Amino acid sequence: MTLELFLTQLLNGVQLGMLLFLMSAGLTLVFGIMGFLNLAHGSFYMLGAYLGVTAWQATDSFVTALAAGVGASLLIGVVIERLVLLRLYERDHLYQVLATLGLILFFNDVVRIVWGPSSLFMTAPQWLGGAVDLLGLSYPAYRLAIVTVGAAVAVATWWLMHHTRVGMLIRAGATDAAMVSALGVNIRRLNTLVFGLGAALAGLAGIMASPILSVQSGMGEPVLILTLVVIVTGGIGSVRGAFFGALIVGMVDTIGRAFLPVLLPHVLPDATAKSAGPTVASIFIYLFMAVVLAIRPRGLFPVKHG
Amino acid sequence: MLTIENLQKRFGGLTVTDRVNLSLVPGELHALIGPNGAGKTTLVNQLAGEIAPSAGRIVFDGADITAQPTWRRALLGIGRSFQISSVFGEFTALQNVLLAVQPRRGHSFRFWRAAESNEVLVARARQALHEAGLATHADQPVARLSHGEMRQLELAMTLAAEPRLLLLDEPMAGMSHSDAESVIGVLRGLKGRYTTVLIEHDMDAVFALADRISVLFYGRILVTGTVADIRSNPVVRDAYLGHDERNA
Amino acid sequence: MAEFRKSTVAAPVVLIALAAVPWLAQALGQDYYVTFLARVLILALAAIGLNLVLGFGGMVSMGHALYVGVGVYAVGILASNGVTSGWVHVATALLVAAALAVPLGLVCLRTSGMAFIMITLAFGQMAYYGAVSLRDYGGDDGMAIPRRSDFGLFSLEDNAVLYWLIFLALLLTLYTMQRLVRSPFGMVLRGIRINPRRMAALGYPTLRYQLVAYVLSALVCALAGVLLANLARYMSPSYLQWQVSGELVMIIVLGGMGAVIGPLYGALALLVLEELLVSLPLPLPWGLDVIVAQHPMVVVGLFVVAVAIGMKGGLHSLLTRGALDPRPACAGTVTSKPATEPSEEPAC
Repeated sequence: MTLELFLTQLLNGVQLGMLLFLMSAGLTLVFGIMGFLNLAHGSFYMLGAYLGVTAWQATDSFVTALAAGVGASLLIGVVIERLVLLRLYERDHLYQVLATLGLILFFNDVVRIVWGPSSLFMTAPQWLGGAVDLLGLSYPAYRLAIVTVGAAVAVATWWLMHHTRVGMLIRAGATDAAMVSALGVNIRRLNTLVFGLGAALAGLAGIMASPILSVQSGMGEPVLILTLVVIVTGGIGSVRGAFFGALIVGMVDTIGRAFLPVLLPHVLPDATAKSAGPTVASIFIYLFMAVVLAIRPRGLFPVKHG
Repeated sequence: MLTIENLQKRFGGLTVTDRVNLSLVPGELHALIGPNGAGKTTLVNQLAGEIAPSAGRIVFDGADITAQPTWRRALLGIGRSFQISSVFGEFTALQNVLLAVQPRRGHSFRFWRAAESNEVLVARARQALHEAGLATHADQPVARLSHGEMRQLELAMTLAAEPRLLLLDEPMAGMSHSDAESVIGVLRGLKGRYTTVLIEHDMDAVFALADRISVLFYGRILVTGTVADIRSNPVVRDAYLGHDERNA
Repeated sequence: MAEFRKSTVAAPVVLIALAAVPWLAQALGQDYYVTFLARVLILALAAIGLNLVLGFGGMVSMGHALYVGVGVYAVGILASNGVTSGWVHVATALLVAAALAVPLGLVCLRTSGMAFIMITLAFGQMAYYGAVSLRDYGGDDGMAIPRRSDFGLFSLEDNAVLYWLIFLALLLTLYTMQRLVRSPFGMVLRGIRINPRRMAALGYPTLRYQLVAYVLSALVCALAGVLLANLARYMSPSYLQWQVSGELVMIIVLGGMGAVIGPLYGALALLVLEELLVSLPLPLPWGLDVIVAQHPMVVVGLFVVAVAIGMKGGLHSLLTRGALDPRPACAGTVTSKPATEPSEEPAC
């Protein structure tokens, strides 16, 4: 295990964290403000990827792909929210779970109908191809670009939340939704805005991940699970929690997968380590989450409710 | 019966219960009053066992119950009613009271025969309903009862568990004047049979019912005394009653 | 004491029809329907077990596939090592399930709401990866099971016999659950779901009751797993995936959480619908019939969404509406939402 390898994995962890942040920011706000558990969030990720890659295949332009991915998931998100989800806000969470699970089934098959069962492929644009020299460490430029985009979105989100009126309303909604409504704010429009924003960010994550992860039906669900881990670890309703939670989860998962199989033989007898290694690596993030929940049931950065 | 010794509760830097000392006389109705945020509900929650105090002791019938969980305190004889009617909407009135009566007759890990088949318990439950004036509603789903009837049921459940100490947290909150009057009547009837700690903002009710009153102010008991004592106490009037004319 | 007995014939009709399946299949010359419906019944059985904690107990576990997996692998591992007695299979499955459910339940029940969902999901995932690591038993791909369990009295090699065993298990579980939810234990559990704080104040050690319910539900799922191993003659980690847990939750909510038999309706609706879409020729234009037959989930997904939006109380409420004042089933509350909707009495 060299330092270079460790640093590379650390950066990979940050990169995964940024993708997870894009996914979790929207999901945590929707759950925190609207009390709505949207398990179909992974579908926005998938649709952003599919539509973005399709645009790229048609125009060969990465920027167009980005725009298409974000725009498509934003549009679909708003439509779904207005048509379907709106009617479920006042219902018990289990009906929301049922409906969104139904949406997952629907979208996973729609995608198969339109694009067929095989994966789509997309390569990173030339101007982001190759590697970048980071203080002696050679790191893929595209992955660095993901980190940059994620960081930019984080800054933009922070600015939105703390320096605009809309952001203030969103934050107020996260601490006391009923109060915001009582103050006469058009809560329906605010909800749609928050939901649409979340869907758009998920779509962005989807299209950005397309060159490095496979684009196929059902790609949203593994990411969704990790996203749920992030928002529960970070604190529901907290964008700050989503950011730091995502980074932590991204790093813990990546480093765990990379190094536990290497470390285990030093601690356990060879045969056990060989069979246990991949298992422990896969479940390490869940163990981490369980420990966090045991110590801090409301997450690491919970929203303080007024 | 109940003695609170030097009870303290701190949340971070905030002291919500500040060295409270109180000794209840058996059978008395002891009111806790104080402005919002004075820590009344937190104090009652500590008595009930829902919040663990930072320091101090709670002694019930000579035994230190500070570390006991809520359910054990309930079995020892501490009953609690809640601010909002917390009856079980999907059950009938009888089923509600049956749930209240079951714990005193042992464990409920019985899986086969229907709960209503236990004639002894059902009889006890029907009696409690009768005493609360709800006998005709016994088999109705509770969700169909009026708000006042639900309040009565709530109280019937609390009493059906055969407590000796009652913790009543704003039982008249949100009630119409006539409803509140009847609750006052009911509570008056309980005096002597039960020892009661009553949190209320309705000053008329407090002065009508209380044997003694403790005034809580920023987590500390300012003064404890009879109704007459409290009414005439200038410190209390300044600190609380003066502000509360508007709130009562 | 008046009972909210809904004048429904749906339950007996459905059950009688299900009992007759092997004969009907033989008459139609289609053995496939026996195995298909056997699978539906197994899924329904597991869901009925989960419903004890989810619908009646208000604990949303997204990790019960773990216990189904315990049942499957108990049979698989024992059979692969020469132990063929069905009684040993069942006993082992139940014991292991209980042995796991107690500590896992204790850990999970320290949390509630969203955290509870995630921690049950996490344990489910851990079990999944654990099964994947069983290289001697097929690892990721899983492995065939040499033969079905031997119960001595009858042979399960005949699909019809296995079907009736599954049906019998389902009937017994339905009956047991029906008694359970009306028993003192059941009333306490349901009270805890509605208002745990009040129950504690009444003198109930709520954790103990929830734990017992959790273990009981795990046992039912393990039993379903034993039957599944026999039906499929295969053990695979895929039976432990979170999607399976999710499917169980879906079936319960779809069918009706407030009713013991609800999950059966949910399982039937979901799987039969999918099967019909795939195998029945549909009079649809523009090649839609082919599309739907190859991608039935498009329709199934929308159906699920429609039920979620349109029916409070799931399919069960649809079947029993009109008999008495139809009120929505009181859903198990997850986070901070108060249980404000009144509920139906559990009816079979």
